[in-house]
Amino acid sequence: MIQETRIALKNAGTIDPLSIDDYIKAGGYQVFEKALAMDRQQIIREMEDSGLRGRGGGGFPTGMKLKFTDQAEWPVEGTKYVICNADEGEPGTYKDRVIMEQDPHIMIEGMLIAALALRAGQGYIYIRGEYVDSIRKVEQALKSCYDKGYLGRNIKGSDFSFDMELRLGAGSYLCGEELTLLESLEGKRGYPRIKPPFPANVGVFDKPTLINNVETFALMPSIIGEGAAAFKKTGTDKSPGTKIFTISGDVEKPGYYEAPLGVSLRQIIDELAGGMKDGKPFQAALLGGAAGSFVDHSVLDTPMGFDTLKEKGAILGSGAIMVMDRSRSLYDMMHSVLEFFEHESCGKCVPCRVGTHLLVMMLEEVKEKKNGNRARMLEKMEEEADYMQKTSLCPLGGSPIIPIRSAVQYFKNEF
Amino acid sequence: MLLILHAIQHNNPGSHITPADIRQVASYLNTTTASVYGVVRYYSMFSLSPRGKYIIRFCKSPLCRMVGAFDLIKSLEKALSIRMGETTSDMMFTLEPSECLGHCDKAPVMMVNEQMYFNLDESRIKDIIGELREQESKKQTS
Repeated sequence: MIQETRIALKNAGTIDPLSIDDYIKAGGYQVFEKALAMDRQQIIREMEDSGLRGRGGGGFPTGMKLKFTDQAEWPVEGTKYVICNADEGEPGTYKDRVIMEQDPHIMIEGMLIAALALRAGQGYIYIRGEYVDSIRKVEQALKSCYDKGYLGRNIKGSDFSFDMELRLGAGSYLCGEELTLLESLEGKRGYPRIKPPFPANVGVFDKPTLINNVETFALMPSIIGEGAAAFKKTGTDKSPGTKIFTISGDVEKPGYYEAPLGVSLRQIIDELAGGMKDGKPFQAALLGGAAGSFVDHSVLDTPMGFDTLKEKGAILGSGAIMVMDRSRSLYDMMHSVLEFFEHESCGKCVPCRVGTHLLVMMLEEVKEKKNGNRARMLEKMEEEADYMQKTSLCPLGGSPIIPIRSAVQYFKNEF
Repeated sequence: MLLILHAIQHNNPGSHITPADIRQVASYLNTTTASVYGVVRYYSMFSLSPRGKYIIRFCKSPLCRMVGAFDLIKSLEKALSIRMGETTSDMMFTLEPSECLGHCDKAPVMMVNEQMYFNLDESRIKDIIGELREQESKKQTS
């Protein structure tokens, strides 16, 4: 029987999220104060050694990002930036919301540690506009940080100064993509930028910028506090640590569960989420959100990690798990996923703008076709999505291929 | 700019952004009205036309759809006598679609102004609309 292992969520539900004193009483900001006395290169090394991979969905090594931003030349004017991506919009995902609503300070402490390592001077938290409760709590948390001297000039008597501000999104999925988020933060339309240059070198206001997901920052205080070695004891070799899974759909106890990576989908469904709802048979799960993969029962016992799922043609992504029992229509699910991309495509790249629309029409055609032609049509959709991935600037154009390819792999006959 | 636009929209009685607002923001930020207009048009939370007192954002993401969001949207449309995207003639309710609101464990969900409503079904929706209407008529009589 597996149990939850809470690192990012260690205080969730046990402290008052509006009270910085509660957070400090629970050991909060101690790691940051310890880090103030540390050699900043040691912080970066520790993060590298921990093997932490970005929890927003990409899985890029966090320590490496930190190192690249550190190695970037110091800007002639201004400063380096630390940004928290709290524009959580991937369907089925709500882990960042839970962190911000229940323990916003743990994320802020993570950002402070990163800023200290980089000697950055300014931070932003970019929250999607719909997350009213998160916005309220983070706003309050920032205010109490200034009151208690954890933000501002000469923090805790040191020579480190850091300011942090809140920025709001306004209803755009694409702004959760890091380069698009930077555009939005600068007050522009959410159009993606060409990559490279990477944010580590040319980020917000063209300055070197570290940008991480909420959950990634929330894991940092524990890593620096207890050391990389302790962190690596949980999870797998290639995907160390814990991950917050948000499970929804046809299970008895849908919700958020933080568990070591390497846990299987079967364990999450049966042992954490109370099993399939009303004991109905499992049909499929959509892992990682809309830009996620459909999997069938053959993946139930695969360890959930960035690489192990990749071998199965699936992805871990944001940790979203949408469970479908036998009565659910995969066609409907795929249709809503493709409509989602059609709606959220920003229109900058032609292949994505036209392609996302075309894919919806093609899927509708699949339904009308008979057997042999149906399979051919699905193949055509895969080709189209593959073409989009190769010719679009940002990950949105490259997303539809993930659900389509996995659906063809596992559920060819269900459409 | 987004923070300014949010604040303006929040303080306008019609929860929208007017051409005069756009001109003012442009001159304040020393940019063109076209670029402000472009930003307003891009983000789905900003509106150029006046909206109702209560803005209903109904989640139509894959999971909410799987558990019946579309049927509920239809019954909402019927209860309010408007279609998705429209505002009631008494300027009380605006019905808007929304992407995933991040409460999939309690789907289907909707947001009315800043308030979330979970585990919706037809009778709950009727109750919620009824309560809001009652609240309003009480305010008018008092």
